[in-house]
Amino acid sequence: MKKIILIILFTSSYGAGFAQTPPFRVRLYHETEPVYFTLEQTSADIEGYDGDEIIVEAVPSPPESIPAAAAGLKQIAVPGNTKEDLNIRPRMQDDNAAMRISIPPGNYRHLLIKVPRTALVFVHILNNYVDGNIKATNVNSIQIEGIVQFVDVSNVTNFVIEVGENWRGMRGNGKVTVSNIRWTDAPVIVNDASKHRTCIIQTNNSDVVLSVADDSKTNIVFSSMYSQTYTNLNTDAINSPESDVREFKRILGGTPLRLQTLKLGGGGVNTIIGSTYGNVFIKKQE
Amino acid sequence: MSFICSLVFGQSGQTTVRYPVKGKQVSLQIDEATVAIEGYTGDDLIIEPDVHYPAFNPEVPGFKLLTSGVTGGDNFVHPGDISNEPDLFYVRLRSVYNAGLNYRHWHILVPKNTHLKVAFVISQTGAKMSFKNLSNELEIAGTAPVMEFSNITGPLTLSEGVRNHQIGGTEKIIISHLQMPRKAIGKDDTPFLNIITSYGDVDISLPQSIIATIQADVLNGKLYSDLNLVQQRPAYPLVKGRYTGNLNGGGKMVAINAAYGNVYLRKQQ
Repeated sequence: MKKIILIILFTSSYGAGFAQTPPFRVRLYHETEPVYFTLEQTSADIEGYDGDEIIVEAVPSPPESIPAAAAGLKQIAVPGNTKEDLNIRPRMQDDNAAMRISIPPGNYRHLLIKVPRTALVFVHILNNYVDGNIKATNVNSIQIEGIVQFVDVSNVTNFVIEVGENWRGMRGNGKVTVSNIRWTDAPVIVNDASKHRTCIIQTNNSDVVLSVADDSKTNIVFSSMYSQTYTNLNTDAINSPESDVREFKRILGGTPLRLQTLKLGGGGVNTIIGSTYGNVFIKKQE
Repeated sequence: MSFICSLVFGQSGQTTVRYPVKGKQVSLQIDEATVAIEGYTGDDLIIEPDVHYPAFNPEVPGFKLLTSGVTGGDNFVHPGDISNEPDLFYVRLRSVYNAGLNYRHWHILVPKNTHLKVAFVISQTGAKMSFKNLSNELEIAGTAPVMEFSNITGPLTLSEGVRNHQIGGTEKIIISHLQMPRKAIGKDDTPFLNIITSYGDVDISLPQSIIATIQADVLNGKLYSDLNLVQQRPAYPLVKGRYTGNLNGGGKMVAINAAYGNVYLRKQQ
């Protein structure tokens, strides 16, 4: 019988008595075990590195600059105004098939999350701040869903980004930027099992900027409901074949409008892009 | 008795619609469109598409347009539900998804002394709702990246957010050129301005002569001002992150709750 190990780590005392909690560290059971993060009201940088631990810590916000709107005004002290601290209180559960790490909101605004380069990372984020952002780089696979103003993904082999949902509030009228993708159509290996690979970007209001080369091996299938799609690539788009229409509907649902396909590098993994109100830019990788 | 009367009071298929609303409270509901609402001296509510709104398919230097979503549009106002009661007129401006969103921006004229309620949700980048030259009570509920009020008398009640108490996407609320009526002067706990937002900034310009008490809840944001505010002892119950200050001895309440945004209170130029 498969051994199930369950660890629930309540760290209510983790931050007690410290100005800053030490970094939270944990190891995956195996390389293809996915890790799920739940983040609330914080921005985050997710970075792949050469180690084998997952390391989470709150980092100081950049030195405060006076907002442009405050020019000529003076700041007035407000009694009880929240002061930033770097205490995090993560909760973790691991059943051998998936690690789940939840970081409740606190008096910090930014997390640094280091993961092994081979990691399969899933993030559910709820960040309503006007300048909220999440960045992921140098990981194997990244999936980001939820509400956040800015998303920046680079140097990954697989990405799924779905931001701007309405049902839990709003935000996500910023930008999703994806660049330097290591394109491959090999299956994604999750818990040693092969899963079909499809790259996805779906936004409600956010603009999308996807950087690719003309010889990147991917089929980009895209639709803009109430907005536009632009490119500066040399390749021309074609009306999507029925197979691409089916794939788009299967993944994003609905009836796509004026669905088109950019077949790059002779084709490869499907990249599905749908935005309701955001403009889509498919631009040359610089 | 309320009744649905789109045939009597206007119907889709017109570029401008007018409804007689003299002496009535007016309630508007608008989805995924921006609106410029302006008070005027007439008796009708007038709704028309704003033909000056930026065109679709803007050119992007160095890029070619691959595809564009729904455009089309039909030049018409598409009122949805309409309810006309002795004291209340209600209209919903529908999003005409199947006919295109060529007019995503409405220009609405209302009799300037109308008690006006407006509910809306729009989250497109840069979308702005504006309200000006209105000299009666304003009740605003909704979310838009920018909301702007000028030349209003208030009282203004603004509850920023999405229906069902969800967090909204507002980034900035701007209020300027307040025209406080003489009757509003005097100590009174009923707010003259009552602004509630979750994550948006609030920027209010006030005349230096205004007699008012400011109550600003900025638990996680900052408060900036160049007004001659005199801080007051907090009233009980104590509320964390609340600043209370008087202008010219204190008077009508200006209440701002911006839990995660900044508040700017500045002298009216």
